Amino acid sequence: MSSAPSSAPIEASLWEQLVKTAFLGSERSPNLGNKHQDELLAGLVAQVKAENREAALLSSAALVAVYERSGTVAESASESSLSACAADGAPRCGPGAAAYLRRILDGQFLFLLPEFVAAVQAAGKRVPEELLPNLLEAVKSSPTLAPVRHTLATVMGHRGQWLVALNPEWSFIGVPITPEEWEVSTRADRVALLRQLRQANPEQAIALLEPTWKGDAPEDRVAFVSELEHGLSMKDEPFLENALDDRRKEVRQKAAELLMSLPESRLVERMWQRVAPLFHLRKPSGLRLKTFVGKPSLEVDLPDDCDDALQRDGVEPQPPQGTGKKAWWLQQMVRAIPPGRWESHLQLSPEKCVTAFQHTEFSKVLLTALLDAVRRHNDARWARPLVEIAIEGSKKSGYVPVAGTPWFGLLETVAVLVEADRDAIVSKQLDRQGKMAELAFAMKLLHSCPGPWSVTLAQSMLNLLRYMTGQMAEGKHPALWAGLGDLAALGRRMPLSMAEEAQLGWPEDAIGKPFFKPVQTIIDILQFRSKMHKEINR
Amino acid sequence: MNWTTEQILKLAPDAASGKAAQGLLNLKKWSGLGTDDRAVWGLCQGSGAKPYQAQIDLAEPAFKCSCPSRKFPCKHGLALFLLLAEERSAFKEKEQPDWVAKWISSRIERAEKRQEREAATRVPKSEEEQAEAEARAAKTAARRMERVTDGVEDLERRLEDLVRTGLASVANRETSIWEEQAARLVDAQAPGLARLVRELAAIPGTGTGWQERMLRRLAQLHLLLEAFRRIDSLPSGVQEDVRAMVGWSEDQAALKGHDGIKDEWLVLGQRTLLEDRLQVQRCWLRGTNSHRDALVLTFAYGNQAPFSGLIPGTRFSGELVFFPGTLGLRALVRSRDEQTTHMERLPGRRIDDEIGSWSVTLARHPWLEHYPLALDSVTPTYLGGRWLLGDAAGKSLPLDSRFAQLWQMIALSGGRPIEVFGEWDGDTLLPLSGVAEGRFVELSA
Repeated sequence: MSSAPSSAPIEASLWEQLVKTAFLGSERSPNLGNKHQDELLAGLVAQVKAENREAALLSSAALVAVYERSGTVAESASESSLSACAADGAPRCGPGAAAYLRRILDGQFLFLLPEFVAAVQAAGKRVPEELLPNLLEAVKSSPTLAPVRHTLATVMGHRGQWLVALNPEWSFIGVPITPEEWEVSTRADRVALLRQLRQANPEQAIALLEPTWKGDAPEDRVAFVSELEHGLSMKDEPFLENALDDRRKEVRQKAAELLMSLPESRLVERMWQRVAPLFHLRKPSGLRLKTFVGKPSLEVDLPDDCDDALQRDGVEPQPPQGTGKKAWWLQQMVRAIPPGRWESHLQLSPEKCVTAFQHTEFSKVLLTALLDAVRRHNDARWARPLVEIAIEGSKKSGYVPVAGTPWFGLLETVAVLVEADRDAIVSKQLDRQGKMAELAFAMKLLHSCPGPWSVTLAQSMLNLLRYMTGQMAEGKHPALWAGLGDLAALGRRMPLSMAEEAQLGWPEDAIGKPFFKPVQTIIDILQFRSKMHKEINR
Repeated sequence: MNWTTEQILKLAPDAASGKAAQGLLNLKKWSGLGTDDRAVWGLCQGSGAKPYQAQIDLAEPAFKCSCPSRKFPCKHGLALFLLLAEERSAFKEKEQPDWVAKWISSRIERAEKRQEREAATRVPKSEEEQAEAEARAAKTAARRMERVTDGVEDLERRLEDLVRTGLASVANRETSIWEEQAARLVDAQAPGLARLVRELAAIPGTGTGWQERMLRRLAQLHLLLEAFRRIDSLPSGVQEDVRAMVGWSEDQAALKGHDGIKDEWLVLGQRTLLEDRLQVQRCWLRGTNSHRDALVLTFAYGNQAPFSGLIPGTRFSGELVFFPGTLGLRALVRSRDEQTTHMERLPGRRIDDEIGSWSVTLARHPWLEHYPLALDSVTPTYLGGRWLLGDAAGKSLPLDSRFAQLWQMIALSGGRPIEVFGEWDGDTLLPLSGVAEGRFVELSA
């Protein structure tokens, strides 16, 4: 603020005198300022009558302060330094959807943010402008929300990109650049461009990467190579094969992982050449016919050495605590083999292969490696026998996890099964409504099934929960919930179409009781999601 | 009037209650949901055998629930209100059950009695009674006047001491010296002065130029004390100003008896401040035809949320009665239509025009603290290391450093002019709301 130009310098000095006197103390100042050229103000100050010097000073200050301030005019500012943001074409979410976003950002169901963003994206809408800062802050400070960073740009519209460019705090959000800007842009922006290219034209991304690759910072190379997992194909193989010689370990590891996903890659072929000679199938001979009815036995040799070439293909020489060195090498070699290779090599069905693996000396190592490979190649045919082993093994051990058995780890292959298989297996387990350990086992199986669930699966879970609440309402098994696991995850995977049904069928005397709380949480999350989607698509 | 989820959640006494209420938004937990023009009711299954009876008198709205919670409104009341907003079709019953009818009729009865009582005080009593009552009142008033006068003299000496020894002496002092002084003023029945003194405590910590700000506030306070000493010689309007500033409160019931200004009122913005343990909600209105600005204050103690029924971004027809005094900002709602409509524009002006109005008001009322500014088309601008609001005429206003929703405002603008409403304190603007593309957005946390 400045005072009116006609009187500015003089009053300012009077006011400054008063401030100085007051600051140092009137007892240290010989006289109070009262001289100045504005006759009107001079006349007014001269009229101040007071009992003492201090009162006079305060009265004068009051007078000058009001006199000056009421003459205030607004500062002149030159043109705005900001360029205006381009208009957004996509429609804004309505106030109802905005209210749900606010509740999510307030921390109530922050884990639902990715679902909210995906739904807004699918509806072709964008987030209201005034909520962008809160959205960016939430994503910035939460590591679990990091995956949302890449999808955020579309729901933020031009306004979001404009805003991100203004505040360095939000530069973690990549704003897609043009390929011409590749060399001069930040990592986040380059990653955003790579992500975009990999969806539309994967080869162009490699063409963009290659010329600058050697000169890029190690952290940049790690980020870029990770982007190749989108739209991965044999066309990326030469680039990745070269990346196996990168100076940065994370780059080499990621390149090896990606090459293992390509069944035709040179890395997979090299690995197969090393692994195949280690496996010998012994067909049942006539002599042993009675003991090994139809069961082929497999003999496995351990690798002798972990040479540079093997390390280059992604094998880590040092085993974790408690694992033998050679067994560890074997595990890492086998995990690189696409499961289908075993079928043709051993001339056995997946079921028989798995049984054969299971009966070797190194069953734990081999099944763990196979689990890795089955998940990498998303091979449902191979997942099935692994799941069956896991269920069988668990049943034998009374559904109590036993250290050293791979059963519980293998349960995660449930995720790889085709939905119909998966639902049949998991629902059957849930419908058994057995003892506590068995319930916990069923819930663990369920937790291994990624959402969204089919109605069948969700139905089985609700029925099990209804059974459990019924038991608790009768005062039995107070600790039944112990194996329930992450409730938010259960509520998040429920199909939206069951929002109504999930509210029904609970024992009357259970609702509102403390033990009902976990179930209520699951229902509440489902309700919230159901209404949220309705509002977004309104 | 139709409430939105957001508006209802603002009634929650604290964040936990709001969350708890949202956890009850499950029709399974409710039975007997119903509503009519006056009330909403429902039974909520709690942890006990008997469900809680939750009910709302929509006239105010007022809440009642049979649960033992000491929060007000409790989660059941809030949840009931939220359900009404979100799932109105679930409220099937139309007849008030006994427990609702009983409460509502008792409320109507109480309101009638209150009106009767108020009317009775206006009816002349017997001369003797009246003389006695007047004498009693005069005695109380005289006693308070004496106390306040003592408090004023005490504070005056304190201010003079301060100037004598120098403001430098308070630079690093504990804020408790102001607290003690404020406590003495509360005892002296001058709560207005107590508040002003309490506010001084923060000034030494406000950075460069604090000495200047401190002297200005001390001088203002001194001026107020001087005015109080000579109150009888002042014009009546100024007398009212001074009494209000010192801490005499207005009889609001009597005030409601006066005629007010009927207009279409726009609710421009609001903010809630914590003064001691008192929550004060400041809500700013402007009349569409009268162009009058009005400030409606609502108070709540402890963890209860202040509730004025005024929703920023809406307009309503109603009558406002203004408190006496020269400033003419503070008002209360005497009567209003329940119907509200959304506001799509702020009645804003250029920066110079609005600052001009403030200057005129300041000259009339030197103790003016906050003044409502409605700016027609301003753009957030980054200049010289700080954010400003600039208009097309090339004028700009600096923003309050406590403005927490700066980035929300920048995002709303997108570098284009928007309409902004806020409080101007003579140095900086604290925006409370903005309108862009016909959309009203609150900018106060």
